[in-house]
Amino acid sequence: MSARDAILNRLRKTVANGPPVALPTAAPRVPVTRIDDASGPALRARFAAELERVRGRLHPAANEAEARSALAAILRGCAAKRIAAWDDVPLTGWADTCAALGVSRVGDDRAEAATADIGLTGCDAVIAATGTLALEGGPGRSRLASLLPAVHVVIARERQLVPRLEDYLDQKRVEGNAVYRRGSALTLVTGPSRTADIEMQIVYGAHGPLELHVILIAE
Amino acid sequence: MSTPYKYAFSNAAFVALKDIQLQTALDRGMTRAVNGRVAAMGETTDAPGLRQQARRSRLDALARLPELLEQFEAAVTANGGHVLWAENAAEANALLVDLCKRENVTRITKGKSMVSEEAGVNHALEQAGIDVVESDLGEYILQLAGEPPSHIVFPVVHKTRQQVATVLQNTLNMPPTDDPEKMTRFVRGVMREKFLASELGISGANFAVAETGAIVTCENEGNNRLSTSTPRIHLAIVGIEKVLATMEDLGTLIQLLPRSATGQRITVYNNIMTGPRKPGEKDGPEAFYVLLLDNGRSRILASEYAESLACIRCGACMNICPVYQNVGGHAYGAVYPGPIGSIVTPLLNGLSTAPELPQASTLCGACQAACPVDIAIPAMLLKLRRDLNDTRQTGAFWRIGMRVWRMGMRSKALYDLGTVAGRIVTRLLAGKSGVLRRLPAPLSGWTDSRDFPALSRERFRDRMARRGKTR
Amino acid sequence: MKAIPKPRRAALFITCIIDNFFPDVGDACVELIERAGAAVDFPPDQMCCGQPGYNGGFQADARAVAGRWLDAFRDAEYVVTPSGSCAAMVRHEYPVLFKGTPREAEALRLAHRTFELSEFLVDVMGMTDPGANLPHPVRAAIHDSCHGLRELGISSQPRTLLARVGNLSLAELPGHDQCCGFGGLFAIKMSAISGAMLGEKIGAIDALSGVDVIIAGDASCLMHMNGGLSRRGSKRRVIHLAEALTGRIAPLP
Repeated sequence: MSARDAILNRLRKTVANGPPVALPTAAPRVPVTRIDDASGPALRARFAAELERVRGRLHPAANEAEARSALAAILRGCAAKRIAAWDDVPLTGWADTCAALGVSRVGDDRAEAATADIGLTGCDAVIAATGTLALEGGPGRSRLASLLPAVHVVIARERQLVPRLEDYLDQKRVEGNAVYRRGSALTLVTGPSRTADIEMQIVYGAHGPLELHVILIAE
Repeated sequence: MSTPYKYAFSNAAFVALKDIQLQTALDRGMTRAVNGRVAAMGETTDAPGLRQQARRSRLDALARLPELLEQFEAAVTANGGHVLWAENAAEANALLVDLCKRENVTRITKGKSMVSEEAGVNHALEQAGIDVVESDLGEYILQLAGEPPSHIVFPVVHKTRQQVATVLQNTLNMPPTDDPEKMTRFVRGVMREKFLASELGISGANFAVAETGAIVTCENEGNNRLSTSTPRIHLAIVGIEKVLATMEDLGTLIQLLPRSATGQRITVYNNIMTGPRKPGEKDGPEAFYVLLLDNGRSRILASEYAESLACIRCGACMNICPVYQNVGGHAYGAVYPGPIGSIVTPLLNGLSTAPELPQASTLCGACQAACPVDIAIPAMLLKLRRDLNDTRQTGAFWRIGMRVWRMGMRSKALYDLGTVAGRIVTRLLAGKSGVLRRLPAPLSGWTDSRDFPALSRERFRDRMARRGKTR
Repeated sequence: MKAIPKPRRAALFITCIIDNFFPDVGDACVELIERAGAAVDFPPDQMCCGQPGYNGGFQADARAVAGRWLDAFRDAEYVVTPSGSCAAMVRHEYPVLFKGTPREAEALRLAHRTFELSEFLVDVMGMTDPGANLPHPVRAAIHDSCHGLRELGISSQPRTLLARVGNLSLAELPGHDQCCGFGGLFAIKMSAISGAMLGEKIGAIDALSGVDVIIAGDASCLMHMNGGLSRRGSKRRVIHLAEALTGRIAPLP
């Protein structure tokens, strides 16, 4: 008998007579994080506060023109030369902004991606309660763009704001959980990479990005 | 089977208590972790309710484990991944080595995985001539130092920054510094090259979701993302108990885990990984494997210790445990230390290998109170103590002592005799001070660090009888 | 907690440690229960509840001893005990210990009718003021004994009552909910670790300036912490909650 069948047979025998441990009585599910005000402006403020808590940097932009200016400022700030990016970065003219500053786009393979100073992606949800960005996988998208460069810039829209992680996951379920088949990974990003392994002192910029910038466009 | 190695916890603990650097490191670490958890759980919508919600998700998954594992396997396969099954560590390691040979893998980067520690994966791969690098900062420092982790979340919590600096200077010629930020940056540079040369990334899984076939890892450093995104193959090694039924279950648990572990509301990265690179994706692994490991778990599920499988490995029980706080993780001599480890270790390796671990608790209950899934840790420790007695692994002194106690506490005459004798003897020995400063072995353990009071001149019951208040 | 009718009588389970080491605590208990409006019975056949054996994993021995306890308290309507640990043993462990035995019903009956002292006074008898006054101002701090705190949820009751004791003020003991390291046989079998835990507790007590006494709800903790204080030559002492609530606080020597 294969290991698989042997293991499954043992487990089946065990659970045949009911749960090995009695379950607590069912109760309506509650979300983890408290949100007192779920209005648009409140969610926006909450996201801003949470992102700041985890050392992410928010760049509010009224429109795409302002977003391009913010992007240019970030590019200049880190003296970027090479950029790794998704194909579907949701900001028209981002490539021209880069080109104008002499920032060239790198190729897709890991050796190339590793030479980028900056990574540019969109996101699929902006989760207010925890300051989290949901980055779904899929065609034209790269996992490494948000991972290898020292600076990660996310283009997000206010309409993408959801109160909590639970709301986002519910949304995905309503869509038939297609996201988990479309891409190899869904990554929830909450701040720049960090570690507290040495004496529990928090150090930002462990193995992933040292900086996380979110350009949040109002329109 | 050869005689199992019997681990001497109290000896290791005795030494650990005298280790000043260890004590310093533990003091610095544990207080912070405990305060973080208390604050982070306290600000949730309903902490007691959430614990029961999380507990229900875990216990429900255990109750439907075979069905959910099959569903998980089908989902992974549909996503283009492969599922491997292993009964034990040897089988798991053989499957791994075999995969490496088949795929010409010589360099591996690894994300933090306790189950891979349990299976001794690194050793097996190294024996096969394959280069394995731990990529989590703490785990990497330990790999360089040649030590096992001492905590399941903070693996290197037993070392001070100065000790970490020494390791990095001695092994990697790091320029002298004991600044955590500089040391972290230095290791980042070293590890980058390893990630970019890696052919296979091994990760663990904090959760595996049956509904979607997702392997989920929660991390802060990004090393797990790198290990699973840069190499051409990703293999996740997963204990069979890690399954959750739905993404809804996951939504609760991936938030309670960091709140309980580090006091974070959510970890920096939650990687929900569902198979190899999909059509049109720019990167991601070309091949995706999940290695499901039993290694005694199906046996535990059938025992009265099934609840221990609900553990989500947050480490809250060890952070709060006064025993762990005093002796650190290494004293437990096992992959899983602390209160939950004192249950899991004897179950995985056999009670006779670690007979002291179930005794390494005052039953103060702080562990269960801190557990995000409300595992009845003290109750299971009691059952293990019973098992020790039932298999006659308890010293004769205690067994006989218990018989005497039982007789004395069942007969009023013996009780009176014993307490009167005790009063006379202790009062005689104590003299004016009223306390005994030295008791004979093995009771001398008490007087090693505290006095023992003489019995009172008059028992309370005698006073009551004198007053005619007994009924 | 759901209100239950106020009982007119309560059986006092004094526990072996208080019986033999701290009889004054017993006197204080009688005073408090009577002051709360219930008459005190003292079943003379009572001995140990079985906890030492149970915690050592000697379940059969513990069951035998617990059986005697059930005999002793057979006629009790309510049982009150000045120990969170012993109350928790009866309330939570007896149902486990006697499950499937002929005495299961008896065990369950008493499990639901056994209360720790402060729990009984406040939650059952509705006491808000123990009616005690100290002759001189005393500053005290509370150590929350583990089993009372975590198995019975006792935390507010002692504080409610102590707040009304005249001339008594309360300071907070850092780590007041952390175990003192007693743990029954643990203190002997793992004496080095137990001693280290005790050392931390005593360190916290010593660091509290201006505090005269520590108050705890379990006599085993008292014996343990006082053993450590006396070994280190400290003049501070840990007293039982019942003593504090009846004004039995000796001035610092």
